[in-house]
Amino acid sequence: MDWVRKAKKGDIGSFQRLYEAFARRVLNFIFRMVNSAEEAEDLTQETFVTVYQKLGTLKENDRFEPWLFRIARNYIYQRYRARPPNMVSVEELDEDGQPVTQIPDVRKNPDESYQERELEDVVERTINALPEKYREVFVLSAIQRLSYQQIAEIVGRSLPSVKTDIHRARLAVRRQVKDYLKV
Amino acid sequence: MDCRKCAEDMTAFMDGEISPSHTALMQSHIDACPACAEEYASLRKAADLVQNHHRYVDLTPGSWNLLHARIGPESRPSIFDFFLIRRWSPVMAMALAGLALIFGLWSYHRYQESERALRSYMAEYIRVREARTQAYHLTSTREGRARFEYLDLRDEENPFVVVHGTTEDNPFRK
Ligand SMILES: [Zn+2]
Repeated sequence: MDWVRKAKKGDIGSFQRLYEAFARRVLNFIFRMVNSAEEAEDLTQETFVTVYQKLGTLKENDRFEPWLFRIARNYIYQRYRARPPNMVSVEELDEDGQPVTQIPDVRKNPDESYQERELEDVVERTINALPEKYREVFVLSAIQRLSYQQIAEIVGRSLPSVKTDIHRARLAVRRQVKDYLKV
Repeated sequence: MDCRKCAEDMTAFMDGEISPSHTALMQSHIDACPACAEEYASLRKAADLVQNHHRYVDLTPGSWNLLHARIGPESRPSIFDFFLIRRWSPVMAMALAGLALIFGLWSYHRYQESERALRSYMAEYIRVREARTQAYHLTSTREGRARFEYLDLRDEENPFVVVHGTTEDNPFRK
């Protein structure tokens, strides 16, 4: 966390290294929570402006990552309060009982296979269908690969409660994708 | 280790979030119990599916430049400001408060002094006036002098006047 130390002293180059290392992850965490790539990009910018301004207040440099994600989370919830999130309600289910969600057009590659796209849609729908409380810990754990301890710090809850919710989210996700699991 | 406990900790086991000794217990149970082995395998597959097929969005090109433009040198306090605001401001505030207190005390002292001077001047003035009036009454009635003569009587010659100061001592004449 040498970059954190240098960025704290105002070294813009080190701050850029931090941005390059973490911005994409922050963007995707926010994206999974707000379900809009454009809004996620906007909130990622806000997050890093705040990080730059408040970096001096971070006491332990090796806690940078959970601190960063907590700032991002604050922005997500601020936006939620200002405007209801792009969430799936019970009414928005298709004939198979699957939630109907807007899938943003953010394809990695135009000629990726139909099967790959279908799997991506399934995963996306499944994550979006998780209640907010489970979704955030699931995304931070299963996608961002943060430790339970870090997640507890980010969401401001106890370690056992975070552990239980991640487990429940995993079970719910498995239920949703069971038809796509190869035997 | 029973199946219920094993199922409960399965996600934490998969995420490497349990102690090494507990991990060893879980592993040996899963190896020996087909039901738990199957449960674990399906959890693992679901986790892999999410890990390998979730859609990742990318930052738009030039996003750093955008951010860099927003965090110009004026957006963050400089080292100088940092020291001034965070570290020195309590000292400066205390110094200013101290100066204000000293100035206040000094002003109050001066005010008290002038109040005292005014009071003693007024007391002196009244005493001189009364002495003159008394002298006038005594001289005019006993010696039949003119009514206004007392005005010519100098304080030094007036036996009823005790001269404590001159008009130059009046602090309000300055
Ligand atoms: Zn078992």
